[in-house]
Amino acid sequence: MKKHKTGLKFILFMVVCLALGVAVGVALGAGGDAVAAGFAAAQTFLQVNALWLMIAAEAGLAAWSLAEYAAGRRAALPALAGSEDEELFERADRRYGRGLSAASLLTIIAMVQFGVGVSGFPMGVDRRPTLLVVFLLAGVFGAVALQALFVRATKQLYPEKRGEVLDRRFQQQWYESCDEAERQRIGQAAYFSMLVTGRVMVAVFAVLCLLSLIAPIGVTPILTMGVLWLSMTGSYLLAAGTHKKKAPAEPEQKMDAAETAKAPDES
Amino acid sequence: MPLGNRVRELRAQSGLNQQQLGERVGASRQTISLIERGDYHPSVLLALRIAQVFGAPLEQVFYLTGEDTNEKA
Repeated sequence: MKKHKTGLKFILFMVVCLALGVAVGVALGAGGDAVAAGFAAAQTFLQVNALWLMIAAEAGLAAWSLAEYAAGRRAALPALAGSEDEELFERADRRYGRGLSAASLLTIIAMVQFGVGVSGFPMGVDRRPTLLVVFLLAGVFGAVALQALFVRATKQLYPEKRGEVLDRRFQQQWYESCDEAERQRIGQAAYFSMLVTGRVMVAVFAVLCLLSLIAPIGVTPILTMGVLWLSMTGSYLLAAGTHKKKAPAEPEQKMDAAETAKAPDES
Repeated sequence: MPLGNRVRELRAQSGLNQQQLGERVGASRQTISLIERGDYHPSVLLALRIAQVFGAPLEQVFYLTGEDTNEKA
């Protein structure tokens, strides 16, 4: 009976998706020119203003990250002085986690804005790409410096943690210094991330396909999505197959390359 | 919560703080805190290590409470 209900729900879901697709298709057919013009205008806006948007985003995210660091530090100081107040540790953890997220976001946004910016102004034609390179480097180095700051602060709270941000094997070293509960959380976070990313990929893929009907976006975005999707699914299946063959690793054991997850975010 | 424990009580009796107990059993202070609050169920290995530090049998440190969740399956 349950199987029957699940099947019906799936069919209903597919019908709703189909109806939505038809509705969007018809709307695009009716107002395709307006949508294409809007898309082109948005693209030009992002390309022309990429530098300023990049500077604003970098400054905002760096300020947010530093504010979280300062708040985390205030909570951590009594904890480091020997206090057993769990709330202090949790508050410091929470603040450091947010600050580290802001630093990670800084790198991603700087790179995306750089890509958008240079796509509109080829090198040699305009001096904006040179400035974009300068601010991209500033953003990336700034984010690495912030990450180093948070890793050092986290190590003060948790002296058993190992790894240096600038070391190529940082994620592996960090993971190896995690205990079973922390590894479980990293695994759960990675699984959640995979589920969300899978859904986002389907949505972005659908949007790109629809966009390609009304604007000359080329095949690169769709091929890029295909490569990302394949690599995510392929690496998951590969890692799942590898782990089926052996018992779960003990914290002291060496981590497999497939298990490498972004560890400091979990602390 | 099907698994209860006396880790906080036994740790206090042993005069250890969470960090020290964590160091002895190969876990972080945070994990010891989670175990004490019942928010994390340790593996058999970690549970045995904790019981060993207290010099107590495992069942005196960790015990089942309420219904066995497996019966519902």
